[in-house]
Amino acid sequence: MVFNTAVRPLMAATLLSVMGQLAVAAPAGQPVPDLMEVAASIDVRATSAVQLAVTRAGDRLVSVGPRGTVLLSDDGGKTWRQARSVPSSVALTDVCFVNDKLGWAVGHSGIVLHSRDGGESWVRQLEGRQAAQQVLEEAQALAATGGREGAGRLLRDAQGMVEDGPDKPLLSVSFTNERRGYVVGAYGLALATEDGGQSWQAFMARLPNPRGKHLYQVRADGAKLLISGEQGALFHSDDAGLSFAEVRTPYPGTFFGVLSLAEDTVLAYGLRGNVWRSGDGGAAWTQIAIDQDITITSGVRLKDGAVVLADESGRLLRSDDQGRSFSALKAKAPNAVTALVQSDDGALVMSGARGLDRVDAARLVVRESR
Amino acid sequence: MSAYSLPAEAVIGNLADFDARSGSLAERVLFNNRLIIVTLCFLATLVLGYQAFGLKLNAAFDKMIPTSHPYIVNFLDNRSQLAGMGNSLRIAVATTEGDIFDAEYLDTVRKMSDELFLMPGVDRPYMKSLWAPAVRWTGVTEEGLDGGPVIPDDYDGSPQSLEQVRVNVERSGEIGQLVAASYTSSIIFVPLQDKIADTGERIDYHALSKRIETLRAKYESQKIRIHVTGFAKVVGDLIEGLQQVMMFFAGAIVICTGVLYWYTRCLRSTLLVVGCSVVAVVWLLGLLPTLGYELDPYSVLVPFLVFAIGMSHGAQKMNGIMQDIGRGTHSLVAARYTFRRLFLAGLTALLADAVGFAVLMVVDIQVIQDLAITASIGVAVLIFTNLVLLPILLSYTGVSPVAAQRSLKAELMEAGGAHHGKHPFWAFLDLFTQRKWARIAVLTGLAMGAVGLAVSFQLKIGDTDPGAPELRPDSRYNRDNAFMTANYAASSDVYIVMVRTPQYACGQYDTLMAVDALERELQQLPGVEATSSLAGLAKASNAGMNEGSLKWFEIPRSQDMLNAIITRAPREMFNQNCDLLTVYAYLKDHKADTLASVVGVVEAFAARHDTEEVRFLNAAGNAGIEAATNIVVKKANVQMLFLVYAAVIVLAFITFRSWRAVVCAVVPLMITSVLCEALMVWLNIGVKVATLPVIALGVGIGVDYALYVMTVTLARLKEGMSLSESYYKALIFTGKVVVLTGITLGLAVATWAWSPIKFQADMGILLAFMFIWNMLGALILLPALGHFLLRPKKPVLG
Repeated sequence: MVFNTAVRPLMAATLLSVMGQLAVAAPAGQPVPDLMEVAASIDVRATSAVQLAVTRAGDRLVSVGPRGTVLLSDDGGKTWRQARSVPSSVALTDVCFVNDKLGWAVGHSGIVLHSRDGGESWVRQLEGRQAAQQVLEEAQALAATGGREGAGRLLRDAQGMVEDGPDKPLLSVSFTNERRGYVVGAYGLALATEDGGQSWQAFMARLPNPRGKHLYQVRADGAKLLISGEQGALFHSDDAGLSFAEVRTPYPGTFFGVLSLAEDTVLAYGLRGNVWRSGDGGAAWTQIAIDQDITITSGVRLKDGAVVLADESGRLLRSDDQGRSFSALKAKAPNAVTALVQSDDGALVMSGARGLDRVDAARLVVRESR
Repeated sequence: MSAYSLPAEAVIGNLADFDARSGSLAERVLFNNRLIIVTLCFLATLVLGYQAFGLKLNAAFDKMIPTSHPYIVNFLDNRSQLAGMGNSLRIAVATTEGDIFDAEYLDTVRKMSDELFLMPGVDRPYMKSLWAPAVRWTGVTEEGLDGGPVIPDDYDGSPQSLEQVRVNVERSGEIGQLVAASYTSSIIFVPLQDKIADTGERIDYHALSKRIETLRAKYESQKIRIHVTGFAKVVGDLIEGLQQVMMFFAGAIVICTGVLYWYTRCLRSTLLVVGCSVVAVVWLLGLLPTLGYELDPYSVLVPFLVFAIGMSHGAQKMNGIMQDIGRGTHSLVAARYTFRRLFLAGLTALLADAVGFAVLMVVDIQVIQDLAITASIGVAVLIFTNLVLLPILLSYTGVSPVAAQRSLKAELMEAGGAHHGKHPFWAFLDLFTQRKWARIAVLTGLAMGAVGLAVSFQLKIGDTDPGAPELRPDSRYNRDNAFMTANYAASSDVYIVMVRTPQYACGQYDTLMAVDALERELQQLPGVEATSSLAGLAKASNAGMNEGSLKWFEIPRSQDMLNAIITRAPREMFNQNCDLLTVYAYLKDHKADTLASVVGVVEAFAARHDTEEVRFLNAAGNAGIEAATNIVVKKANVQMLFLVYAAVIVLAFITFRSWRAVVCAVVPLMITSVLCEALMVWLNIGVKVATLPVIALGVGIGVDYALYVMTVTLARLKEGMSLSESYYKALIFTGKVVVLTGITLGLAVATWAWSPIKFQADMGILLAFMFIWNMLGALILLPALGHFLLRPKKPVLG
């Protein structure tokens, strides 16, 4: 009969649920494992959620973001797919490739990931506890040789860092070739490698950064290094990081990035629409007028020599005179931009608060004045 | 039943010839003290009629939810900590010209906020609007964070300060929350307490809704449009709609009176039957406040039902008395004869109705239990008014002689048998006792049952329409709701997961990381539009506290940092003791599949990651509560069908003492039940609190028909008549009143289809279908099945 067939399984289900309620429910679950140990999973919303950096790996574009998300595009940023294997789910903050295969990504918990296949799969090379250990070793070595002023403070700070655990994010990565690279991060964290990331050595003590300001960006070009950071921090090296000099700037706010435009021409940008330019290697600085005091988050030099900056509201600013003046582009990102890269076909690709966006080369023109 | 096997009573024209001591004890007690009974009933009507004025129409949030389901238990345990999430009003103030950065507009919002702030039942500390001090902006400077109220302290309505408001709104993070992205409307968010804190009384939703409407009328103008959503408004609108329902009640009385008068052509007895049924309703309405009940939007339909059932039984009594009077019997004797013949049958039928209602008590939702109790009281009242009072009153008044003659003539013609030719309609129905027609009927019935069953597997649990499914899609409320969904990011369907932690541990890194993992799993569901929690807030705040750099968009591991974030976090995210976190999932809709997918993810996550310290609990928010309701309704639907059929089968077996007769009576009911589910699929009506009672009511009342027809048929079969003869006798004795009842009940409930309240319309359509199809089943399928199952017995000698 119609009725009984429908009812029998349900009676069984009811019985089971009653029995289930009788059993004393002691929570038998496991805590969620540490994000560092959790492989990134496929996220259906990955392409519309925050992405923190984007770069080129040959013709391919690679973007990284929170929850270990790595996105790849083989059509200049029109479509994106998620990388096959990322061993960690912490937020990734920056990515750098030296060719179409070899690349490094850094992120929170002091993590460094490495890919040998153009970003498809990644392995972990460093995490915060090891990084802190390296910082401690550097400080201990310095203290052992003795003599240098501030060695005691460095040692105390390093011991504190080890005790804090892996709570400091790395914020930027730059490799000059497949062996030599630099990573920098919060509280002045700075490490370098000479063997493609197999081993890392801290170089915090070499930076004139006694207050441990956050370092937001490192850019390495041959033996030249520029590091920008909190409270007007700007450091410069001509010897591949063996020694650093502080570049004094008139602005006390944060520089989120710095662009080297030509020999001795540097453009630093940051908080509240601040863009500063030096044409003499950092001795004299002029502020470049920007019409809105919105934080500039990223900049890129295009193939045609123009410079494009992007801000927190998604506005794009273009300069065709080596950064002496900027005008807003017609094209705009819908939200805060976190990084810029020019794709192979000349389009500007942006990572930002709502994922990735692309502006065709033809639309990278300055808005006509009325 | 023995009532039907009694030999026909003698025709007694003179009261003196009648032995007043004859009949059962009940009959003697009632009919030998007629005046006392009538006086008592009159007094009862006066007292209860007075009491009925104390009856309240209301609805309470807690009554519509399954309060002992574990999810709801979790919700109720944590309710006081949930910052009014269970129950709130969102009032959007929209401008039709320009944007909200207008002095006049902002002034209107301020005045409205001030008035709303003072309304009783408002959970004031959590109220939000552009003018609320808690609605702030934050900004980054070289020195650190800067912030203040969105409307600056020195606001003066000048263009400069309006421009300041615009800048503050842009950096407040309230776009899509309190302010529409188009800048043409903003929201006043009004959380409500379920009990008014000052007085401890429950909120009077009708009064609240009226106040809101007054506010709307006061401030709405050429330039200002006001849209209101929230549970309290839905309930307010429902109660408002109930007043229109009174019109349907009047309509039902007119229809039933009309049909009855058409049938009897006797004004005085028609008025008596209607009067007694109205008395039943008056008693019911008087008993409810006396016993501490009130009417809610669900139980308001019970008086209709009681009235309609009363009419059907009243008609049976009147029909019997009329036939006897037509034969020349004195009206008192006729009344007593009818009482003798039909009291037990009526009582059994009413008991069957009561069983149908009582079964609803298994549903763990108070409105349904209240409906069951209300209906049971109503049926109990009918036993007095329509089985006792009505025959007694008829014994005084009698019927009009013309009508009595007419009834007798009709009976003679119908009973004329083969000689005079049968009445064509009854003759047609009688065909179904023959092999050919019986086979057609049974095969058609089974085929319809099979098709219906196949379709009924697609039956949805829960609501199928967006917005407030209780109201019609084009109602004011649902248009307001559509405005909200179109203009604001947060959907109206909010599912809340509660996360319990040890005291002061709600902000620990491990907890927040786990919450984030849950959020991420929820975000993978197609039905989830967005999520929010302290974990997500911690990421955004971490960026905010690091000069707005999104590179810091991660839950900080440093507990100092987390503590700093928590001190600034809005209180919707966690409680005072910091041992409860709330995870919000904003859903696309509240369809059953969507809710089930969320429930599944949370259950699975809890199974994997619940520990002694941290537990993930379902569910709060309107969507969470609806998810729990769906689970309960789904289970109850099956339980209820099982119980109502078990009860009906037992009752039928006790009455018939023959399993064959039980099959004949119950199979048509089952086919109707299956077809009703198929109809629900076809009309896109889901099984929900409102439609759950329909099948139980339909079966409970539908079995009446089978009882009336089958008892008479069985009695005649016992006397040795053929099935055809027996069935024909049953048709002209009780069958015609079954037709009358089916049509009367069907028409009366079908009028609900015009109710402004969607679920009443749904109930009306479905009940009308059940009543009509059960009637057809009892008249067509019952004899057809009888052809295969029932055989006449040799007459018992002696």
